[in-house]
Amino acid sequence: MVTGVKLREALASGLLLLGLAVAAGSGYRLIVLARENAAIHDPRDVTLDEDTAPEVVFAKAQALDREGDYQEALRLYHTIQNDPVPAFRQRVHYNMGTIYLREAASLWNARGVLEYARVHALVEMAKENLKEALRLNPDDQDARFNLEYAFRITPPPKEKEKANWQGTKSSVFSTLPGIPGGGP
Amino acid sequence: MRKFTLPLAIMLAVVVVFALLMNANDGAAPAKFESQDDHAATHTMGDPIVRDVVVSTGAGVHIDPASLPAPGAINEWAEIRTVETASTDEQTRVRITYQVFYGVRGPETAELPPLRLRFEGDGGSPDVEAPALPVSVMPLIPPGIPDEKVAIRALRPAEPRTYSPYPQWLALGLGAFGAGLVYLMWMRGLLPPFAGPLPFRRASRELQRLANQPSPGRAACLVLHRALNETAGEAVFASGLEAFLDRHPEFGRLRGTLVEFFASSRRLFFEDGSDGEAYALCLKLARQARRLERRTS
Repeated sequence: MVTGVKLREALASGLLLLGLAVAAGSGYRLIVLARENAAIHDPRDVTLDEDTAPEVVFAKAQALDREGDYQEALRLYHTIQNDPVPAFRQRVHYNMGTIYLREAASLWNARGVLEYARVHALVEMAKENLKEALRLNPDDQDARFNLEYAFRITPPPKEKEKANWQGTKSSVFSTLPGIPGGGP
Repeated sequence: MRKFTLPLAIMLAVVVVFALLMNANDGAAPAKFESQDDHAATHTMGDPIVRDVVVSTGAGVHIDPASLPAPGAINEWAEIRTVETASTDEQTRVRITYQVFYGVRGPETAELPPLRLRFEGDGGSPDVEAPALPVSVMPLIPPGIPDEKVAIRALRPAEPRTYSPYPQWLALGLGAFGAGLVYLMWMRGLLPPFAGPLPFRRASRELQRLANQPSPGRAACLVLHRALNETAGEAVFASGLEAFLDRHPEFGRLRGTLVEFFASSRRLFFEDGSDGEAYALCLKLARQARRLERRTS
């Protein structure tokens, strides 16, 4: 009888302690999540470090981009582009591709072929990131649209300059030594 | 004569081996391209294209995995994403999923390249080639819109982190904590509304109420007898004390006090004794028993 009572008392104590541990653990996680959500909502004053949640870094990058610092935004996106969650990675690549595309398009529309090299580099980066976004989620209609636009504004390949080895004294041939007379 | 015998024998052996090999080849059922699905649909940027190639094979003939294309870019506008094979005794089905990365300004037709597959088995089989597969590609951006007028799609916002499943875990944890706590309190009779009959607890209260009476000894003994009987579920007499303690060993340490109580009760009721210390004894016993009693059901 006593053994049974003691056993039930021990089980009840165990249940009490287990419940306390579970409640404390989940309560702590809820507090952390609430803090992270506050940071995502208003990331301007967030100081980033190694332990910052990727979604907070994402929000900070977006805030920086809105403020015009797209290069710092891209740097932050680069730090989280290998996140293990595919859906999150997909959004990171989509945003990176779209920022590259936006910059390429504005440069292309403003300066045209004068900025060939930069536009070309930006468009290629945009394509790579948007392709990756589509590899991760082929149904992303926005990524499809932007990637098609990236192809549309891809500058045509520049014609290779012709080599002009003939003629002038300054050419390389003028400096080559001749074969000495009497040689084999 | 002997000079010619050896070369002749070697030639004969070569001919026989060659004939055997030819025979073996004739016996093998060769692999043969059967069909691939037709792609009448028009695709747009990012679409996956699934190409099913069916090859009929004989028994024992199987595809050489090294001849399957590897995932990755195959040309400027398409990539292979996955390659799967399924084989039976009669046929092998190769399923290749491509993804289109083709930026076009108007409808265009392109071709997925031919597919050369190698099969191996008894006697070997020739390579099988699936012909090129034409696919139509349409633009997403309507033709005729100048590039500078196209508005690119917006950036994705940061998404708030979901609280799930922690609220559920918190509720579960609090529930378990509460259940454990309530059960422990109930066992110790600390939940007044649900305390129910804990006999010695009630007896203690009743005995305290008797404190101001002139000679509370008899009444106190009756209260304590009632509590004992209620705990045992039957009338407990001095002769049945050991049986009671066997069934309720939690009161084992009160054996001496209980013996003393029964003796005092007998003196009071049957030997016309005075109250004396009976009340104090009953109160002491009730308080000790109250601390030891637990719910057993």
